[in-house]
Amino acid sequence: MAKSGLSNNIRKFRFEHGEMTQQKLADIAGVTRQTIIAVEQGKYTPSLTLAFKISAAFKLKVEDVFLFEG
Amino acid sequence: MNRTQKAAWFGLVVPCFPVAWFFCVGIFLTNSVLLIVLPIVGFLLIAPVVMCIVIGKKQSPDEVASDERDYMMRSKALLSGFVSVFVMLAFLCSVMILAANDEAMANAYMVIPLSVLTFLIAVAVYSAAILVQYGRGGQDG
Repeated sequence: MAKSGLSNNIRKFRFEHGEMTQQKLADIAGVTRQTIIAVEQGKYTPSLTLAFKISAAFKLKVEDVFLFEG
Repeated sequence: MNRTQKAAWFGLVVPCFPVAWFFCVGIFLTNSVLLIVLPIVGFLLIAPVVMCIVIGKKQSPDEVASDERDYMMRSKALLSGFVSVFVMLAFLCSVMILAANDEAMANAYMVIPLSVLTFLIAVAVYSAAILVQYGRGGQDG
């Protein structure tokens, strides 16, 4: 979990969506693969826009993908 | 490795050659300013062309050149590079003041290689700052 208290289920949802690659998700979200890796590992807290884009890629709500444990 | 990382590696490695040239040839082997400056200027003219060729290649057709995390890293790295300019100028001025006693004077032509050297070190610091942030995963605190 990141210092911000934000965790995510990106890895889980990637595999549930036909083993979507990080590059594929990055292309959909309009970011680099390295950013997806950093977000997935909890090393980088994405902006609200990016969080919505990632959630939209899985056709899910933001709160389903990102969990705040403040 | 994305474009920002490639450019950072390029910015870190490329200044090593002119800096090494400056210290080896410029200070220890010759007193000719042209022999110091001309190869460095020539190198700096060629380097951007090579950089465009190296970092132009994409990993994927839809790959983006940079994103929000890259912008954040660049802004932090820019601050590091900016600070390094002041540190370098203070260091070089101190060295020149100490090297030139009351009777001696520094050659005005030395301003050119010293300016180039400061610029190259600022680029290297900027690039190193980006790579360090990438190594840490681009943590946002």
